[in-house]
Amino acid sequence: MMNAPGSAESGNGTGSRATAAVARVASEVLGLLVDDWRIPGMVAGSAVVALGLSAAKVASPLPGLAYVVGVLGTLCLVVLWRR
Amino acid sequence: MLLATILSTFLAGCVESAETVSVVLAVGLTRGWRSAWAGIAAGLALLGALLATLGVVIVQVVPLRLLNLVLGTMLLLFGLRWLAKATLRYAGKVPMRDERAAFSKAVSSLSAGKARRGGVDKAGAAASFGSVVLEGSEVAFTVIAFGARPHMMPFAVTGALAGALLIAGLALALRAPLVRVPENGLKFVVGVMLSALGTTWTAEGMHLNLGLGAATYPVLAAVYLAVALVLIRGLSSAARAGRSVQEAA
Repeated sequence: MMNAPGSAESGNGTGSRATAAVARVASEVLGLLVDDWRIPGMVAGSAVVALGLSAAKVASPLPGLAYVVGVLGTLCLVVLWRR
Repeated sequence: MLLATILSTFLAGCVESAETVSVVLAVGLTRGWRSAWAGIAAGLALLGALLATLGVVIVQVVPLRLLNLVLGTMLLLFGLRWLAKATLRYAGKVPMRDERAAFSKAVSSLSAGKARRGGVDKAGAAASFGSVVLEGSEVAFTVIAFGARPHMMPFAVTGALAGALLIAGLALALRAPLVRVPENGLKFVVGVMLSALGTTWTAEGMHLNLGLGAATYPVLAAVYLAVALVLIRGLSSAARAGRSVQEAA
């Protein structure tokens, strides 16, 4: 992903390359937590299901176990999806 | 908790530092060490500012009852991402990270133009800065998550710095990428630890009782490890079976 320094060695060329590198770093840092949208999406879904079960007064520890199963399922789905 | 904090941040520091030094070494050897150090200094300053601001804001502003949820979510998202990537690597679905190849690629990319003599080469410094910030921000988020627990910040920072300095010091002394660091294995272990801890903390934050008491974290770590190993074994077997069918045909 790194840009070759290439021909832009002086003046605006190098400056814009450096600016582009900084902008790329900023966007990638912001995207670190949501690099793969499926992970936060499925984790949030698991949390909603668990909290729903909890709100429906389903006996403990079933809501908690549902959450753990959902998070483990996220790992499995992400891995199997990418294969 | 103390051991998990030090070990997790130390290993995270080792993994990300091994990836960073390949690029920094390439910059130093092709564009000059002044450019490499300028990028490192600017990157570390930005990460320090991130820790000093975001870390403090999270601890000071986020109410205690939400802290587990916020920090646990950060750890869980990082952990699952690392663990999924490491699982795919060990299953042979994604190439293993190879520091020698990463170093060669960076050298050939950076060698394409002339380095500026007697000053800081902007392209080289930008590459060095980008690598430090990009890899270091994952460590910084891990440090914030662990350090935000009561009295844990000094241990979290020390663990991460020790790991990063150990790897960076070795690489700079040898002037070569550290191909013998078991980076893929470390990423797998850290992925298991962060995923288990993230799940534990988010469950606590949502007041979900798992019925495991103090054994929650070790049990979840064992479960994550087992699931990841089953996935690796299953995907590897499927790949072998597919190759056998192709050879037979």
